[in-house]
Amino acid sequence: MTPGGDVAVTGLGLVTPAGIGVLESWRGILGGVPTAAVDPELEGMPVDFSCRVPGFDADELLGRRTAWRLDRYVHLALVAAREAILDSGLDPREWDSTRVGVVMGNALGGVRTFEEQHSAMLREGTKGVSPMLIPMMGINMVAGYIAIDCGAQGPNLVTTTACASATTAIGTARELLRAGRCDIVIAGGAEAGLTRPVVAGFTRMGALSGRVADPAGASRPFDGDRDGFVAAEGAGVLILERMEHARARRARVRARLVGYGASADAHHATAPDPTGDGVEQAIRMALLDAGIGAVDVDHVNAHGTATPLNDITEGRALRRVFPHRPSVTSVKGVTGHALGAAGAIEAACTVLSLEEERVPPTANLERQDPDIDLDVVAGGVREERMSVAVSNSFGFGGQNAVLVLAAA
Amino acid sequence: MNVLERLAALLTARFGVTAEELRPDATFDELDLDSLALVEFAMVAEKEFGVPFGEEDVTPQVTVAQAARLIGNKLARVG
Repeated sequence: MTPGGDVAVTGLGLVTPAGIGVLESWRGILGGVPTAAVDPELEGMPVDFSCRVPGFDADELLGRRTAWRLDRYVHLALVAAREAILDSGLDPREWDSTRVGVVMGNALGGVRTFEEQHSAMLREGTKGVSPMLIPMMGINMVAGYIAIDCGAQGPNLVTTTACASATTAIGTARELLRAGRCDIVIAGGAEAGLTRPVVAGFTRMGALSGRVADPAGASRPFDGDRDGFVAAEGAGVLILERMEHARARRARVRARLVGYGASADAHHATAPDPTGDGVEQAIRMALLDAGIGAVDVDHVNAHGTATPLNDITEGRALRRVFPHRPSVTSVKGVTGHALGAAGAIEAACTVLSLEEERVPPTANLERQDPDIDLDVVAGGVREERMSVAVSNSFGFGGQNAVLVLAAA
Repeated sequence: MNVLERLAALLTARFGVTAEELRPDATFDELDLDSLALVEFAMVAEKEFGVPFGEEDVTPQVTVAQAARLIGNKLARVG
C-alpha cells in the first residue's frame, strides 16, 4: 500500500440532542433552536438542566439482547456507527475486514454504569456487582463493540483527550489511512456522562452555565453574557477511506479530510493558555498538514463552548491565524457540549456545511462579546461559497486538536 | 405462572431472548447467554425467585427446562 494520498469522508452518523440521525440532527442545528432543558435526573441540583438525546430507546434501536450488556455511551455510538456505515454504501459482509479500523473518542467511559454498580456494591457487597461492570465501563470498549457489531478487524482504539477526544480520533484515523495501515476507518466519538456526580463535578469547577431560570438561553457561545457550557450527550461517526479505495468502489465522497493538527498548552489543568498560542499552534499544524494557506480557509466550526475563557482564547487565536475573517459558528448553542463526542458531531456538521454551502447559526448569540473580534454567524443560516473549513476542539489538560476539511 | 413461565418472562425482559427462541430444550448458549452473562443471570434469578443461586448452578450447556427444574427444586426446599 502506498503511503500518503487523500482521505475521503464517505459516511456520516449522528445521535445528538437535536435528534437521532443525521437528517434530524442537522435540521435542528440549522434551525438554531437550543436543546437545553430541565433534566429530571438532576432535580434539586444547583445546575438542573442539560442537553439529552430525546427519545433514545436502546432496546428498540439495538434490541434488548445487545443493549443490556452495554453502557449508554456505547448505545449512542452503535446507532451512529450503523447509520454512518449504511450512508457510506459499504457492506460489512463484503469488505476486507482486516483493513477496517475503528478509532473512537471518549472522555468519561461508562460512568453511569460505574455509579450504579458502586451503589449496588454498597447495598449488597461484591455479590451485588454485575460481571458486566468492567466491559460496560471501559473507555476502550466503544471501539471494541463497534468492531464486534460490524466485523472490523483492523487497528482498534479509543483516544481520550477530554473535550477534544473525537477530533483526536478522527485525526488519528487520518494518520492510519495515510500510513497505509487501513483502507477504511470508522472514526468519531461518543459520550453519555450526564449523571449527578459528573454534573456536580463540572458545577464545582465553575465550568457550567448557571442560568437555571432560562436553560434554553444558557449555552451562548461568543455572547457577552455567556457564563459556561451546558453538558450534553451524543455520538458522531464518520466513515473515512483512502481516496483510492473510495474511488475504486465508486463511493459518494462527501468531503475530504485534508489536515490534522494537535498540540498541548502545557499551561494549566483546566484553564486554556489565555494567549491562545497552543490553539494557534494546532491550527497552523493542521494547515501545514493540509498544504493549505490560512487565507484559503472559508469557514471555522469553532469549539465555542460558551465558557468565558474558552471563547475569548479561541477568538484570539482565530483572529491571529485568519485575519481575513472567515465565517465562524458554534453548534454548541443548540447541542450543548457533548465532551468526548463533540468533535465528531462538529466534524460531521462541517462536512454538511461544505456540501450544502450553509453555515448553521450560533444559537443564543445576541450581543457578541466586544473582545471577540470574529465574524460569528447568528440569527439564521448563512449561505456562502465554501471549499475549505476548519473544525476545532480543545480539551481540559490543554489538549488541542484541529481538522481541516475540504469540499469533495 | 409456573417456574418455567416466570423464567421465560425473565429471559425476555432482562436479556432480550425472543419468544420464538424460548423452547424448553434451548441451551443458554443458544440464547446468547455466555459464561459472563450467566453470572448476571444467576444474580437476577436469585432476586426473582428468592432462592440462593450460584454461577455454578448454570452453564452454557444447561437448557431452559433444566434451569426451571433446578429453580423449582430449590423453591421446594425453601418452601
